[in-house]
Amino acid sequence: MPLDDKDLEKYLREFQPRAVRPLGSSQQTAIPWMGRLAAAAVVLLSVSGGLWYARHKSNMPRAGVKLETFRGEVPVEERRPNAILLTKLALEDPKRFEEQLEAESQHILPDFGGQQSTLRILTKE
Amino acid sequence: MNKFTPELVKALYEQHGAALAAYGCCCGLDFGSAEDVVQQVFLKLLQGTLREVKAPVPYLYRVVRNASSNQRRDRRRETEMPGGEFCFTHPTVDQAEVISLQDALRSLPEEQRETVFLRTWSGMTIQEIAEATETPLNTVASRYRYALEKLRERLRER
Repeated sequence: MPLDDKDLEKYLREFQPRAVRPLGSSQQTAIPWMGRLAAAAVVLLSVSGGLWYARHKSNMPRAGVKLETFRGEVPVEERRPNAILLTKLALEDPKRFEEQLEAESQHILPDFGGQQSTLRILTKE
Repeated sequence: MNKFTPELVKALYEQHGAALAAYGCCCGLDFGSAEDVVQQVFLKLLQGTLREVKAPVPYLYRVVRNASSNQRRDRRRETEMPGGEFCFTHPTVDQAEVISLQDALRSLPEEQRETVFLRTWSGMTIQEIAEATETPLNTVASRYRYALEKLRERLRER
């Protein structure tokens, strides 16, 4: 190891600063370009994932389909009464609420009276 | 006064570009950022947006120093010299010795590191360093002396 200043200076000068790229050539443009590529890949993955999920979901059997096949009617979920309106009705006019509940139950509960009723089908099975 | 003609700018870049980038590293930037700073400074010179000066080399170091400080402030970087990458090369010694030198430089206080860098790799005199860094001549001289002492100690330890 150099002991005096002159030798140390000489030793230090043997190290050279790392070379730089030619003037005017840009390395900075590589970063936004890569960023745009990464963003495009993320968008592509999101869209394809979304499409796959939508397709997969459309192939899955929905709740209520089974009941529809039994009854040949519209699925139960689509006929579900509005809970807020029913609550309001129960508070304001209990008699009408009872009537409304009875009327709704005709659609909501499985049909046991018809030829294609759930009860008959289950009995046959 | 020296006017920054395209020929002079290209010649200055060939001669001092690498040292200026390493100086940017000494000012706390990573090598890629330091290289970008140096490129921007020289491109501005080519566009004629920087003024003509008496001493181009000290002026360049001053501009790179200010640009490095601005970039470091923008990125909220620490003021120490970044480790883990090479700002220097050596034709014969192995990389471990290059890292040792960089570590020794990094361990110096910023002013001393800057002074020893400018004296050793820019070819500037103590007088020119004083002008470039806007520091009294005696202060620069003592910083350089202390820096060499510390460097010798650190390099001996390794």
